[in-house]
Amino acid sequence: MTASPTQLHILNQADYDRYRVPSDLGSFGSLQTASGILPLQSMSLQGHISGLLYQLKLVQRFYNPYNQPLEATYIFPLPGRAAVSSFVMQTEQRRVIGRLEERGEARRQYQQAVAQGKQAALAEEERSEVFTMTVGNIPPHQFVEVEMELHGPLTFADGRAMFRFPLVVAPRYIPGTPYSGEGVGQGVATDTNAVPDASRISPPVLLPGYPNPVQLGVNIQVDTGGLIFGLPEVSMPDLLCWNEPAGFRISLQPTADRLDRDLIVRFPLPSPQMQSSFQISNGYYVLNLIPDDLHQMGPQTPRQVVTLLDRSGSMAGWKMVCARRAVGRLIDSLTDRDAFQVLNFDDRIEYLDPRKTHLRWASDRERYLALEALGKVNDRGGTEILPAIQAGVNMLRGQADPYLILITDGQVGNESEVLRWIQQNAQGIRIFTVGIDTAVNVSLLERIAQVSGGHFTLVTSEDQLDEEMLGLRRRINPPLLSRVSIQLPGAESSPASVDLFQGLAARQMGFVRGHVGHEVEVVGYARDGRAFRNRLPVTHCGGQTIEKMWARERVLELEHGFLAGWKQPAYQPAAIAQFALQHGVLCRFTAFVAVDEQSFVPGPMHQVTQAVSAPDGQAMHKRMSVSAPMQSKAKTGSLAPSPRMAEHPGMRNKPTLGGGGFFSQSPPPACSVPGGFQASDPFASPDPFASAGADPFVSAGADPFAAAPGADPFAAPGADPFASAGADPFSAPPAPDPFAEPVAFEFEAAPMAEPALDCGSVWQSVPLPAPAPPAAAPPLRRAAPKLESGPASGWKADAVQDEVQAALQLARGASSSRDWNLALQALIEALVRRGFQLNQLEPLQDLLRRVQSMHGPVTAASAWLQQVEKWVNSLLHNPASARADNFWM
Amino acid sequence: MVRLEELAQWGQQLMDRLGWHEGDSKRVTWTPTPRLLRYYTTLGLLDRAAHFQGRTAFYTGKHLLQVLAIKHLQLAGSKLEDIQRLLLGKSEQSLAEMLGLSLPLPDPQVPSQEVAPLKRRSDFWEELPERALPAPTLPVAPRRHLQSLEPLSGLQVLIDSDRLPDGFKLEEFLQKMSDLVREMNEGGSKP
Repeated sequence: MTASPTQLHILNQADYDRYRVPSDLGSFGSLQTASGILPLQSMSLQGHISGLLYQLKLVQRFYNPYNQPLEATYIFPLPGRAAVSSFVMQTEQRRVIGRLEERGEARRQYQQAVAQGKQAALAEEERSEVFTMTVGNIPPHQFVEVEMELHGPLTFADGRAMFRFPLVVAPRYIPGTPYSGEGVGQGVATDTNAVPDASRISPPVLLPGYPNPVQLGVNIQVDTGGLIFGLPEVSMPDLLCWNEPAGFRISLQPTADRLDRDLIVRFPLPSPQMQSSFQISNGYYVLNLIPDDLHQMGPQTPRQVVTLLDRSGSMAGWKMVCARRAVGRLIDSLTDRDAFQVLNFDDRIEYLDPRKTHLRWASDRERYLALEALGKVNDRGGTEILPAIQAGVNMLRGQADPYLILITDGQVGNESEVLRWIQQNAQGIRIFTVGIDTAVNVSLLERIAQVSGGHFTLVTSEDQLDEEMLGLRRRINPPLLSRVSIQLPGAESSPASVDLFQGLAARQMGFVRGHVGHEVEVVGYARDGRAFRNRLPVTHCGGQTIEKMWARERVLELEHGFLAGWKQPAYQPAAIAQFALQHGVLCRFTAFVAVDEQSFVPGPMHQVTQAVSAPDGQAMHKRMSVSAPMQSKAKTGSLAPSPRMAEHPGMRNKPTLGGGGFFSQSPPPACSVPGGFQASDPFASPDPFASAGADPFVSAGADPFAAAPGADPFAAPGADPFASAGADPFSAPPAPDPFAEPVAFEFEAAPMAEPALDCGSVWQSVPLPAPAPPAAAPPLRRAAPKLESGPASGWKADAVQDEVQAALQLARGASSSRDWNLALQALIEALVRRGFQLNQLEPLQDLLRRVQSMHGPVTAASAWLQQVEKWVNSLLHNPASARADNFWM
Repeated sequence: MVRLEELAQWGQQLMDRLGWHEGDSKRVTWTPTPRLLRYYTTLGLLDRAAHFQGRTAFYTGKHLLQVLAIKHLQLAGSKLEDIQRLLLGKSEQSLAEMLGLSLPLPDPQVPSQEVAPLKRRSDFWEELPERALPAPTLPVAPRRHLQSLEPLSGLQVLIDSDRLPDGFKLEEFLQKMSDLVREMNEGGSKP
């Protein structure tokens, strides 16, 4: 194995035996009990990846080191898109297959079993990426293993397929005011009115020096299916990849690992090899769409781009540097026809320059000033994402081609609030999210991008930033093809229609009743209205993966509808639970439970919640450990309003042991400042579970928002899906009109006339000539960018339709009789090529004869135009009704 | 259940009773802050507050045992990582044994309240957040004022109110300047 961990290494038999991961992690009792008292001993991930789908088995092993029965609670992540389809509990005596039940019922069964002294296990979902495993009544000094089977997809972007398996739930910022009742979970955060289940998604955090004995083993076989993969990049340096006859094998021998980052493997797949594909199994299908060889020709239309930069305390360290560079790259990529603004937010929102509060033209000077001001943005307070998104959306309201870019790690607890607001208020604005960390809240950021028609980009280290930003820059544009859907009668797909962006694969999964032929057709629409069609061969395959994955996708959509407050019966918890039970997937409203009926464990039960490491990117926790050097820069001035230090009456001006925290007996370091309570404050950044002291929506005191006494936006009638009949909540946002002139912005220049002072007659104010406004953008040409498909593309434009439209376009521009002559001839030709008979086109021929007998300008041009368009449209859509005598009516 | 201040007093009483001292028979003083307790909770060394009234947290005897145990180990010189390794997951009984106290703890000589913690609804996964969210409005910068004043022909003063430092008293300055100009003018016109 060479020094670089990402190179392939062809092993001989001896090496293979040395590195081979044993398929069972040892028999019971053979593993030495580790020194820690945390119950989770090991995790193993085994399975295979074929095509862009994977099937894995995750095994978690718990051990009870105490002398009384133990209930272990573990709050852990799974890939959000993966379907959990089976659950097995293996105790030292028995193997019990778990059942999927409605969540309340499963919890009751678990609690009843545990009260009776039986061994039981319960797996629940809190967020699409956060799950809780509760294993109860583990007998003293015994093991229990739980196994879960997962089916999930890989994502494909910019020529690389990515397999991502999260391994840690990071600490999240929890806004809102705390509830006064009991917490609903075993985590460390308090439930608030913004995050009612905060205590279910917040495991305790281990300090960096804690000896973390969790053993992680990975053994995944990758079947490349004849495609040639490049060298994979992996996120963990100890991960081995080696060649096998059918593809790759990825493995990690079980070593004690600090689970502080996601397991990510990226396989470069040269684009020419990737084809759009359609796979079907028992009526459940998955459609992978690649925009192969589609090119956008023509000038770029002006865009309005607002970037939201997260500068909260959790972004400290390399993440802040990375985020600033990302914003810098994006600003660099704008042209002087675009307009932009950057807002940085933590628990307040600020502009880069407080005097420049509107969208600015992206001239060279503005971009330079913005980049300069970016350099001073440092991490600070808590993460209030929702006010920032609201501000960004308000700023972009009414713009022609608006884009909102959110750069954050997404570690907040109030995801349902955010998604609900975006669903109801941000229609028409594409939101692109960039997640920066080794363990990002992918479920929130991906969901935001999906509901708004944007895309989520993951950046796990500074080296990746440049290439990810390169890809993102190309995509901050209207999609190449929008409203792409499959033309299959009787098919329901989730999502209902997708947008195809440059360099990205889009996936649609669905269910079709009835017979499917050898080919299916997919149609999408370019910006100029042309339809592009692709015919794909149908591949039949077996197995349950596609069904489970579609069920998971559909259940995520339904849950999203529930969180967004839709009132239709399909989005109610009971209906969602029934759907999930029917297809056997875990969701928020169902849970797996396994009870060993024949076991009995006497004695009172002790409860322990598994503590986890903070992710690699959260430098805050590293700073707080004693081994780290003291931070002498006093951050008190920049502390957010929350959390406030209580002025305790007993607090004096000398370093006290309580306030100085855990530095106890060690002599105060030389850099401590007299009045040293605050300089030696280890909590220089607020801890992530602090409830916001100044709730920006409640206390109008300290925050810059004028708390508008508006009505509750969630009561707005416009949000009711029944109000707008036929509105599909999951349809893509309406495409912005590329021809609309951008709204005039406020220029810096102010009218000069009025004198503000009246200091007597000495003064005579002479108005200055107004300074020249910034150079206006070059006038927008009326030609829209055209989409062209190259020779290697599967996408074919509807040429014939285009001809008719082109002829109509000619007619629109026609004013003289000669123009009309040409236009009508072209129109008749196009319709004939379309398949119509000449005798059906009598009215047009009549008109043509009339025009040919005229000379000079045509006076009734507009009336003719109207009639012609109406008649041609009715002919195209319903030939039977378009009769000759309809023409002049 | 007691609030933070009373928890501090209760802890102080117990520390005095146990006879803890640091250094040369100096009495241990202990002043916890909400933020410190929240940090310990994040680390798993302290349970969540048993009850909240608005933003005031209420604690029980188990919380007291936990912080006393942390304090005990700190006085013995352990680093926080070792404290975490030792104390994570300890039950009330074992904490009391470690400190040499017997359960139940002696009554606190501090005002305490018996509050029954409210039961939340059991199906919390069907609960949606209830916060009312008025749309915040961002501060909009005032339009820039460029003024040119000509107190005297040949003397022009350009004022960019944007770039003036905050707190600059423009009116006073202009008043003074106009006085000065008048003075110079009159002075100059005098022979």
